[in-house]
Amino acid sequence: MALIRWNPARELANFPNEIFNLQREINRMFDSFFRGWRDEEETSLAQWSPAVDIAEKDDAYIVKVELPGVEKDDVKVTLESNVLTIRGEKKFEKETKKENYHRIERCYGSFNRSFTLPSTVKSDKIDATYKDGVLTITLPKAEEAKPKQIEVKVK
Amino acid sequence: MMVRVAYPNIFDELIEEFFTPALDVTPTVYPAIDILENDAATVVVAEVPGVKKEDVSLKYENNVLTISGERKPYEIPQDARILLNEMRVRKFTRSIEIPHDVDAEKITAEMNNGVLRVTLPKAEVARTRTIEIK
Repeated sequence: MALIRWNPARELANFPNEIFNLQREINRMFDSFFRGWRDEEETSLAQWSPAVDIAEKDDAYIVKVELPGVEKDDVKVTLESNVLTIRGEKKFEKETKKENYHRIERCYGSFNRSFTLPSTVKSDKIDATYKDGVLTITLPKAEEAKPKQIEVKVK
Repeated sequence: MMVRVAYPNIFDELIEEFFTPALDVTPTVYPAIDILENDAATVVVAEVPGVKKEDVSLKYENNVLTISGERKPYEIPQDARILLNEMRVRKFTRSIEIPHDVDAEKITAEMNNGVLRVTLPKAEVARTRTIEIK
């Protein structure tokens, strides 16, 4: 590597570029902040979607839905021709008029999620429990949907 | 040189300013919190679905409330296959600066339906007073 004599004038000539780069970088950061913020606001004003986990066992589906702060009576679970729908509303309730909100990050309003189950379930055996803000729905599979072991006789 | 901050994780670590709405309203900050203030107290409300009470710890020091804890995985039967996984299992920490003096002895916290609610009563000196003009 060759040694290059330090030239303060060149450094100075690059200075505006450095500033522009920095500014561009900052602008980009702000853009992404506000894009994120806008998206978030639109979803929380219109509808929000709770996070869902679905697991499948041989004899049942287990659906878990994150619904913190939602009252049990404000959730409705329906099953219609293999489509499971969870809908409801998280209400925004002010306790007294004399309070100021400094920050609201939680999502409020109505939510609605639907899933098509891959196989038929016993609709009369569906069980739902709500604990610690998580709704757990267990849907036992119909007999014909359970995997069967068929023994094949080889002659 | 590029200054790339790993947002929002790095922000999680910092003490958050009290009045900064837009920057923190992002879906990736966990847990989501509401902060409200009335004459008597500031109330911090955090959404912690699926988190057990014993897995949350609260600390109040130098006007900063720190909520930390862990969302542990729930038990899945051995023969189960995961078809969809959106719930986040993770450790979390958030620190919130409270803009007034707090009667630290009287801080209360409760957890209900996956929502943690911390009430930080204002210290006598910080309470709103109506002053009569004579």
